[in-house]
Amino acid sequence: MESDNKTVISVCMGSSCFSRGNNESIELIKKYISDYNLSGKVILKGNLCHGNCSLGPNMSIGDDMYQGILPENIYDIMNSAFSSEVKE
Amino acid sequence: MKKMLFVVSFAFSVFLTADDFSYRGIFLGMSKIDLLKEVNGLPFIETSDKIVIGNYHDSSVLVSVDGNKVSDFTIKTDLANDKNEFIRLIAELSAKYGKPSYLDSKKYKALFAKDGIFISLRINKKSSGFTKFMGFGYSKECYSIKNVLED
Repeated sequence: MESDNKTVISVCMGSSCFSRGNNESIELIKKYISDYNLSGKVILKGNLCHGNCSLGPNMSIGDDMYQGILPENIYDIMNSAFSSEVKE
Repeated sequence: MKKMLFVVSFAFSVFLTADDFSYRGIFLGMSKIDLLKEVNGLPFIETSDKIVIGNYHDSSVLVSVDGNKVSDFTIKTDLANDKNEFIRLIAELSAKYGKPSYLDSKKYKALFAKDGIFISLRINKKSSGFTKFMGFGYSKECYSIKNVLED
């Protein structure tokens, strides 16, 4: 999913996903966006519960869904999604 | 023409009713600036279109912001006595939105429907898996009759 040519990162903010780690993951995603100057290329959105709580915490980057994510995985997920944008 | 008139009157009635919906100092249509003043000092986490506010009158609030205005919100609270709060909210919402169109006191679920909007009320011990909370909110995205009946 793209919005104004920006890749949409959508993080579930339903109570289950949120309290199981997405509260921390959002902050880590923001830090990643800031550290790698991606603010012009991505848009960080929240979404309400879509009923996939048992598979959560959930997030999506563009059309790719990520389930069972943990804050400690965020860096790797973002790296794999934005590897072409990020130059270490 | 009739169809168009129906759509216009429906949209208008939704607009009028939606503006009435509030919880303490938060209400639909309030500006983001006013919202942040209302919750000044409380912890919050923000994305481009959603804000989760903690410790707001012993509840957490998930707010959707559209064009710098509050377009949707849900309240979630974890209370010592959920039953009393459920009964209190049923009374409060009934006064505003009429008799609930669905009510299951044993499962602590209720749904109010008026002029095309839905207000759901529930204690949900299932979908979150581990968190017990009472959900209460006006929502275009999350709640529907299907959610309330099947969740």
